[in-house]
Amino acid sequence: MKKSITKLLALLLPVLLIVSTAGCASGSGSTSAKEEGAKESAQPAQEPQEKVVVGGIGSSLVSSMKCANLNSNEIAKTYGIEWIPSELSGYDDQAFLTMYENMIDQGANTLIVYTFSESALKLVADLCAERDVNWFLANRKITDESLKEYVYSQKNFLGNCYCNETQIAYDLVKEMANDYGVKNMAVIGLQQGDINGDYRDTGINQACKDFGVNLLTETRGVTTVEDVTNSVEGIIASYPELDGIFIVGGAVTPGALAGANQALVNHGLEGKVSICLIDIENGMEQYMGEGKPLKVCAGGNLSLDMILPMICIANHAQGINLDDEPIVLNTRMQLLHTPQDVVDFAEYCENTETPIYTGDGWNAVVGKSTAELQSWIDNFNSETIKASR
Amino acid sequence: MNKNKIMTTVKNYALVLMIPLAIYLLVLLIIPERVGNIGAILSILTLSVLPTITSYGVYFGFVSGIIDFSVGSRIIFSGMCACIGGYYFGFPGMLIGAVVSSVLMAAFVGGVFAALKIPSIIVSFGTLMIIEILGKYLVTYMNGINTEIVTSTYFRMPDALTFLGRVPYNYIFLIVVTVLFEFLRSRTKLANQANVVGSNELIARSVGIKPMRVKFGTFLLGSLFIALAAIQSACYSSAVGYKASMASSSMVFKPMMAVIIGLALSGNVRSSIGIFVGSLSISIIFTGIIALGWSDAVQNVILGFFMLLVMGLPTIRQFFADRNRRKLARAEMEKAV
Repeated sequence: MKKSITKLLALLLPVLLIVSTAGCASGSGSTSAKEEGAKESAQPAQEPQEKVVVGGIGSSLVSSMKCANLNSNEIAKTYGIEWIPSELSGYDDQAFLTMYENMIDQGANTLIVYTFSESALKLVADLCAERDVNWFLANRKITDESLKEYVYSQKNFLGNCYCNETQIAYDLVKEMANDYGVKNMAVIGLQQGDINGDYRDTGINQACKDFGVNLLTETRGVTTVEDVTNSVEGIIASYPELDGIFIVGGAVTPGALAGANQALVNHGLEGKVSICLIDIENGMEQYMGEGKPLKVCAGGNLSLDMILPMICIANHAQGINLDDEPIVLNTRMQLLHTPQDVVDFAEYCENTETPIYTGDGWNAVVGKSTAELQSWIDNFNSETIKASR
Repeated sequence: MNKNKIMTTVKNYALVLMIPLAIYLLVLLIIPERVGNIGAILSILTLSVLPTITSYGVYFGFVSGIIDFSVGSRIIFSGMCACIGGYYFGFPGMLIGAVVSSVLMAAFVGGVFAALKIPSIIVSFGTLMIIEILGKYLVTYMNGINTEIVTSTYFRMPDALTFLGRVPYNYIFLIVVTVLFEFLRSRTKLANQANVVGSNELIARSVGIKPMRVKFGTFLLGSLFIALAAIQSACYSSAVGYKASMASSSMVFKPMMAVIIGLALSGNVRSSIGIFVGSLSISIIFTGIIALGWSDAVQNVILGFFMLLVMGLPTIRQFFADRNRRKLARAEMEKAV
């Protein structure tokens, strides 16, 4: 008797399971169909009023990102856009993807995308296509041609802005060789796999060949100030002929310049070894000037690269520059040589308290054609901003 | 101490010191013009100061069976507090700032470990993330109060105090810390109990030792050396930058390697000397790799291999010990038969 009940139950349970699963599926199908129908009927009426909600990185600590966040917020406020900034929680692809998915879940219908490596871009493109979200790629030039073709062909892809990293690294080595007589240089580089770092390496290698600079050694992946001091200490120990250090990404290791400077001070070499740096670092003016090691610093494009997408999105929202082709803008780094340059730069170009323009002041750039926008970027520096305010 | 014992001790120390000497001679043979000068030797010694002090901080937990990746984040946080204390109250402020913050952080990590009773590696990663963020916000908070001491990304150690990171003060600092470590390691009940707990927890329990209490204690004991490492780090680099996304976890690799080498050599010399020899050997390899001008990829492969070799040292030793034991047992059995 007990056995037959068990058998009966064994038969009944799968049947029940199949029936309930089918029921659920049809139920949800009808609901989603209903919802879709409702959406479809509602869409034509809602579309014109749809508010542009932009999601992007808004780190509160790095000066460049803080400045970009401040200006993006100001542009958004002026042109009726909602801005959702998010803190970056990691540099791996998954961290970026999760952040963008979260932004979309929070209601963003446009993303300002920045990724550490190219490998995440296809996934971002697919995510935006699937969720019907517009996006703008900031501060990254795509090296893989097939990927570039894929990304640029996406209907949701608005544009791309990036700096010529190879050229800037080339120019810095040129300046170190010609103006400061550097002949033997060591590189403190970014981790391999960082797109911008790879571009900069190409520029450094080429310039070293062209200007007869001997590239002594390289150290990468430094994570702490102490790592930088250790690296410079090791380089000084092994290469007494060292007369130049290229710090490829100052922003990646906060305090990198201070660490490198201290190793030179410990050996009494601060007046003999010249440093050039990419990424403007807060407080770096104390290492510049007569008898100090920092000769030239290039940077400032990071904040601009993050502000430009918001300008383009504001244009897009107003029906300006709605070409089929994505907008491509080239930013450039500014070269700072003196403590005064740093002070002016912090005051006018990368102020974390006062935006570049306020309110209608942004009409100087918003509402302009792509060519006019490019011209504004080409002339962007402390002096022009000071004059235009 | 009789003459034989003195001779054995001298022989043991000479043998152990041969390890870094042999590595140095190998590097010297390959690139004599790069490392064959007094400046290079002093730099190699300087590069081993901080990892040695950090290793002393890692040691007590490690011998009791704790794998702690939060050490780097604690050094950074204590270094920041040392900068703040140093700025406002000079040398005593620096010392107090570093020690108090280090002990508090250690109590936090150890407390979580003792309360949740989950593997130390998981606790250390969890707490590391929290401490890194604390450091990040300390930078932001202090940047709003005093921009002389902190930029938006890093703290500055007052110039008057950075002498501790320079030759010869860093060597004197290391000697003092080494003496303190050796005293605490050999003369305190907690350090000896940590050894017992690390060897066999069941035996430790059976003799009345409370393993969890001992492990918590090792966090606190080690925190003193973490504070001293934080001071040395901040004085050596003159700055302490915040780190996020678990980047500080890698700071413990070299000290951990040094501790393993130190433990491997502890049969011959005192642990403090073994650890110093380990740190020195690592810094010779590091300098050698830089001097050779190898690309970053080759540097990583070499360091990776070295790390695997060192981390695998206990297993390799165990393998040979087991083999010898089996051989002896077999020989005795054959003898008996």
